[in-house]
Amino acid sequence: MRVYCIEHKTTYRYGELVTVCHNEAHLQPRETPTQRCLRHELVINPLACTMVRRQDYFGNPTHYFEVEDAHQELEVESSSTVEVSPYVVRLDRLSPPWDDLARQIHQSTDPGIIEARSFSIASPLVGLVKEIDEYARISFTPGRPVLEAVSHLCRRIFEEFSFDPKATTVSTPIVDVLRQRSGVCQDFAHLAIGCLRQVGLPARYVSGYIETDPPDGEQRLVGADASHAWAATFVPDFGWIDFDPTNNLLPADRHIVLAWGRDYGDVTPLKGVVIGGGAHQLDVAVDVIPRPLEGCAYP
Amino acid sequence: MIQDGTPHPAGILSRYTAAAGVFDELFLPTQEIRPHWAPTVSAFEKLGSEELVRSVKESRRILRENGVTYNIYNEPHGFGRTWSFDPIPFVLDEKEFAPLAQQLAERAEVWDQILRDLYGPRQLILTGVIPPEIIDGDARYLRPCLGMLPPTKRFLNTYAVDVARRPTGEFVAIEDRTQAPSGSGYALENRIVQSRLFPDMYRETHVHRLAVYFRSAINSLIAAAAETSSEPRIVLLTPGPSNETYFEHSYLAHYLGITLVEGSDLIVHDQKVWLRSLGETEQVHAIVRRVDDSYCDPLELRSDSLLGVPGLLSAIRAGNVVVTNTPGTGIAESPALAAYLPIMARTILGRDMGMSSAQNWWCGIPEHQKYVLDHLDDVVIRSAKSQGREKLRFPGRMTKEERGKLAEQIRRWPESFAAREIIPLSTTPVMVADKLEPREMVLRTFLFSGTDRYDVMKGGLTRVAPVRGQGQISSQDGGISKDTWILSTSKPVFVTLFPGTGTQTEIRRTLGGDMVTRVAENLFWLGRYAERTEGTARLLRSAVRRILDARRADNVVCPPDLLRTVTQLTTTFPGFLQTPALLDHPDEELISLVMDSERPGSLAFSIKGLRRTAQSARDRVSDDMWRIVHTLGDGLTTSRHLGEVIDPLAEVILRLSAVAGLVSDSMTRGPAFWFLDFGRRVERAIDTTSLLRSGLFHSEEFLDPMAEAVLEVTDSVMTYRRRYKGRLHPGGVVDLLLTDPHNPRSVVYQLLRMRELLACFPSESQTQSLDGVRQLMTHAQGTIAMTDTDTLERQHDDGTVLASIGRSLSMLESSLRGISDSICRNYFAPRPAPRSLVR
Repeated sequence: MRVYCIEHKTTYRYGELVTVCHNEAHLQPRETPTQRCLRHELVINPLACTMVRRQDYFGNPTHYFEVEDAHQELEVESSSTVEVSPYVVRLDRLSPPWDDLARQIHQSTDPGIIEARSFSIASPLVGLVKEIDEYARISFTPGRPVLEAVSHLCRRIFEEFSFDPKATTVSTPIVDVLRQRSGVCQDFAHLAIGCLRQVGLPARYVSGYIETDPPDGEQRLVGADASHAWAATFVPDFGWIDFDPTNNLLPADRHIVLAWGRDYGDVTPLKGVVIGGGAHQLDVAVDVIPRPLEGCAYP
Repeated sequence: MIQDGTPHPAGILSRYTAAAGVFDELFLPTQEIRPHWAPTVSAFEKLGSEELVRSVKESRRILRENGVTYNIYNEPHGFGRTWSFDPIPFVLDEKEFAPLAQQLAERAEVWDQILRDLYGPRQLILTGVIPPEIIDGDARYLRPCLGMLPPTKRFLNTYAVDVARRPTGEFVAIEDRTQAPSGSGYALENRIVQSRLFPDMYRETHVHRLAVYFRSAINSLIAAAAETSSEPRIVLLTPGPSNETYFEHSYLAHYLGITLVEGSDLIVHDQKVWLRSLGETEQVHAIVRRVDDSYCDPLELRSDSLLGVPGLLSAIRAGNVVVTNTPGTGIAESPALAAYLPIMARTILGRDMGMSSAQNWWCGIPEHQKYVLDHLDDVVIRSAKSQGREKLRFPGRMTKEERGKLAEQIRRWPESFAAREIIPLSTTPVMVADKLEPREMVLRTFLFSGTDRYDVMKGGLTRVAPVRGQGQISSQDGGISKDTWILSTSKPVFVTLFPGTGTQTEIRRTLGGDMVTRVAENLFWLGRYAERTEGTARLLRSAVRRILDARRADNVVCPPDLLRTVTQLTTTFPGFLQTPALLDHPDEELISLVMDSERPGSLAFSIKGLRRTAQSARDRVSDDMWRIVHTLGDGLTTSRHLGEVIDPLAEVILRLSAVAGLVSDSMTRGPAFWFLDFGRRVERAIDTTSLLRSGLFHSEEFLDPMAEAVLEVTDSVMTYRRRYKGRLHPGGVVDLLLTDPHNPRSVVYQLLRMRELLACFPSESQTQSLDGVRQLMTHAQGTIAMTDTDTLERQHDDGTVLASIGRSLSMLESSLRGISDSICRNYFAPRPAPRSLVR
């Protein structure tokens, strides 16, 4: 079991005065079978005049807030303490052929499976496209055990794509990511989700953080981490299994989950509608600090 | 003559022959008139065809005057197209309508329960009644609305169903409208036109009144909103004047006595909805929504929407506002879901619904797909997922090639297609030339959830196909509509929307803190456009008159300076100012300045602006003023020769004087008047200053004829003649039009009026300081006081004096423009469109 302190600070700087803004945040780590959120705090500057918490459609904690003080800079600081238990992968349950599972999922009358089946449908940011299908079929060969196929897909994305923050934006379609063979974790997660849905398997998008190691012998740098994203698929007798194509691994206890949904659009960490503002500049700083249980002081 | 059930051989029915194989509403299969139609047909026979033909013309005039329009998308002249109306009502007996109404109410109940399930426990999906794909794969299913049980305890508050009749005579529902059903306002307007055309017939026939329905609708809305306030404020949220049914939005708001607002008029603060108005902002407790589902809230729904209100869903969730219909109800319009309606109804009711539905298929199910592909001729193909308008596809009317292509698409993307059986529509009589002919019809029925059950409008919107055998009827395709008469077995009660005389009414003299800021802005511009239009019309008339006179008589000339002034004042450069050749052949340019509505500065362009602002402030413009403005300039569109524009120009000038009269004699002195009148005053001051500068001080040539023209344009010829006994000199003209405080046309008079108006304007706050405006006014008055008209009088041939006055006038003009800008900045400006930011 590991405990992390996470500091996630988002700053918007505007060219002109913003008179009002309405916002929605997915910044509080959700509870999962292997994760507990021990503490969470959301601080807005200028002060929000209204802040409400609710659960969204997918059960993620969601904050709604209004800022009415005119401002040229908006700071949203989210800090949390999260306890993560290792993820136990039951290989025996992950060995059935993926194509049998896909058939089973689409024929089952079990409510849990029907609910999962909704994740096999195209979503706004992950449409079904022929090129994705071709890419997926290389890993999803007939009769292959599901975990093997998923791991194969994961490794191909890891090996064939380069990580390049300049290559894509929030709105780059996955077909372009596939063509240019580069992108960031969010693109790789979307691509993997597209591949799974293409072969009839449910797939969801997981937004969160990952613990990173500083290079050997160096101190970790404040704000050097970033938010992370990966994917998960559903296996009837097992449940949802997460996999991280950016790092080519199955998450154990170094991944912290914020929220999940059909794609990035469902779990955007912070979005807002502003009146005024003009051009804007955005800064995000994330720190994921492993800590013993006792205390969690921000460095 | 109809007692025996057969029509008069020479009467209006002489050409009426019902087709075989469909149900005719008027005739029994024996070619006898159905008994419930007999009194109506008899009354029309008595009127005779000549009278009926006249009534068709009359109806067009009424609709045009009332501004009843329907905007057709993707058509250059589709904006503000007049609603087409047929004077023969569709008649239905109460005995037949009552069971239909009951079935419709049951259907509404079923849809409401379906919606509550889809946005609640989702049992219909989880127990396998419907496949998740048709809900979770449809953009109309709005996930943020899950668990959002509205205070009305219902998702579906207003509902419309298009009803047809099978050849057997059985009613069948062909389409459900669940998100923001339109048409009830048009039904009401049709009724008003109908009763104006044939008042006696309408009185003598026992027709159910429509007001009952609207009263019950507004009352249940008030009751629902009453949970949050004892005096709830209700608004109607419209996407704005370019929406296809905008007429209906403003019409209903007017009729129901609720405020018409656009998304930008509302703001969410502390999870409550507030109306931006000139006084203090006021809380809104209920919203009748005509903005589509996904556009309601750019924060949680479509982020590119400029029509919605950021935070609205949060306010609904908090129970602080009632929105009808609740966002998310659009999913019930899915053709794929329609295929499952019978089985969903069975699950909910434990039996079949009373009302039959047109059969629907969703091609995502292999058996359905096979059926559709095997029966392409008998179905209409629809997109399963597209939102909003779509062109229905009739494979039976396609070429072999087109059908093959469509079938291929269906095989390839089956989930994207749905189909509906084609129902042979029943026919009803319609006026064609001077006789009645049968045409296919569809009846749109309307429902509203009362406190514990659904109320059905005893009436509806009947639409008929413009040509025989069209198979589909849509207002977008230019269908014709008619009134719907549900005949009562007893004399109907008279109902008004005003509360009964027994209730105590508090006398109120509040001066509209409820003036929506956007409306104030439109009224200000309405005033400016009205004045500018009049000025432009007068200037053009003076120029055209002189040109025509000069062609008839040798001793008359049209001073080229007048034409240059036309260009200068209308800012239609290069024009006469920079293209000297035009001065010799001015006809085409002048006609364009009168008629070309696409040319900024032209009269027609200014009229367009006037109409647009009047439409946007429709709920503050009286019906009489609206009629004048709405039909203004109709005579201008056909002139091709200069001689033909004089009369229409005179007509425009006359009608605008009527507008000015209505403003000064009929408008309550409140914010609406203040802003409108301020707009008129500031425009008149600017126009007159600019006219003097450009007309008199441009050059010295033709000073006398120019002075005369300037007086004519400013309607001051008579005053001047009386004062100066006909002697023309620029000093006198300048004095009369600039400095005379008693001439309602002078610039100084406008400034004095503006000062008075300014004192009435809503209280100043930190953001609204009128000091700047006052300074500019003082500056303008100072400039006028220092303009030395006496010197001008003595030495008007001295170029330096002219130049100095020209400079003063130009300074004055910029002060006046500054006043207008400052008012806009203080009262209207701080509302740039909201933008979405995503991280």
